[in-house]
Amino acid sequence: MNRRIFLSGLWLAAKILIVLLLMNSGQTFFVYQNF
Amino acid sequence: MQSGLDTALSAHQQLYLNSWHFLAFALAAVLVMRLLRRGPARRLALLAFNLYFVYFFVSGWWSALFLVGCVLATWGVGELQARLEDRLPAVFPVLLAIAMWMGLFFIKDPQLLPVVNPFHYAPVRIVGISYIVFRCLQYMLDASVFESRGLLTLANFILFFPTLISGPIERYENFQAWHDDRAHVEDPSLLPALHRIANGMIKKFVLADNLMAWSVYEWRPGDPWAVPLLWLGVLLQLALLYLDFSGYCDIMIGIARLMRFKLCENFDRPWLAENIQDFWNRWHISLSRFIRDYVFTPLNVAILRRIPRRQQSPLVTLAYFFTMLLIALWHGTTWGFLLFGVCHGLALVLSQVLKTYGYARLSAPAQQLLVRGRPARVARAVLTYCFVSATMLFWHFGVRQSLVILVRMFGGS
Repeated sequence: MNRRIFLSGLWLAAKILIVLLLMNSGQTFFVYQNF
Repeated sequence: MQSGLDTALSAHQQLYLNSWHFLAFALAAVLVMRLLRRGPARRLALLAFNLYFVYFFVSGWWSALFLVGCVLATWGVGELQARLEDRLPAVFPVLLAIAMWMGLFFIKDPQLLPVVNPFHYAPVRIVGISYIVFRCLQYMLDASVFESRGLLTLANFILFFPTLISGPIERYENFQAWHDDRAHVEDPSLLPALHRIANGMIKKFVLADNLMAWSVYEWRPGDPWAVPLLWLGVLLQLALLYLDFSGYCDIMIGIARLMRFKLCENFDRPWLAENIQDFWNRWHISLSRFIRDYVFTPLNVAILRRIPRRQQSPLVTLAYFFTMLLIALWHGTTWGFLLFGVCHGLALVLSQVLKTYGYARLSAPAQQLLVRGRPARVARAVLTYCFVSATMLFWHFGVRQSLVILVRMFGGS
């Protein structure tokens, strides 16, 4: 159980790193258009 | 893609979901909602967070007053509906729904029938108004069957920040159960919700935003794009919108989950859709279900009750077409959206006709080859994807420019 949580946390940290490294922040959401 | 937000709101009001501002806000909301587990303080705290968020998506005092009026009017009509249900004429809900739809069309397009459109003279600018109107409409129509009603619950329902600007279109009864402390999601771990938020961020900020450079949205009239690049740009539209919209939903569903609320799902692998009906069952599910429950089903029931049996089938088919038109016009009252609705309505009717009359007449081997076999299913999924992606041109480019792009895709000039 603990090992699974640890691995899940590690995977989450990797995802956050991916976002921080590869984020292209020049765009807004389509959904911000006036729907 | 910045234009929609920029035109709707003034610069100081923009709140982006990838900003530290939003992350700090969401963190504060989650912490407070988890610490205040029950009671009125929790509901008032939620209202405060909702109002703070709403500020960034409402432009000017008139729009803010209009929003307050919407909440109060919804509550008033709901009370009327619940208390006088037996005495109100049967046509009341129908007239109410038509009035709400007309009101929405007028708000969204102040230039629509300017002489009779009050919002031509006093425009209302609220991002997510289409979703707000649907929440109001559901409350008004169903008020008599809700377990309890209250102004605070209603205000929090209409302004609930995870669903405010773009859904999912949650139903009042689900929200109320959570709001009134009757149905909290008790996750033993926060990790699944955090993964959901991270997935949404990867979809939107990493994939969609980096792929945007290849999309047809970068095309300008007169640009000499090569045909393959144009195909790539056009077909990328649906993938981009999926990554963008479902990414947004993932982030908001994750945040709501951290607040112990289970928001409804909005997507179910739409790339697997084998026809348009299947597509709309997998894409923006909360919108499709709302239109099904509050437009299509009542229409169908009326047809089945009042129309002779022989004439029912064409009218039901027409109801499919009409429903699709409404879904398209809900996004915007432009010729582009209208044409998008006509294309999807016709495709929906065609898939119904094929299902009812066409496939059944085929021999077993032909059915296996053209309908049930794996290659046929993959081909149908690819065709559906291409059709939806191509028709999405009408959203952004309008009719004339979309036709120019479509002609160029096939080598024309």
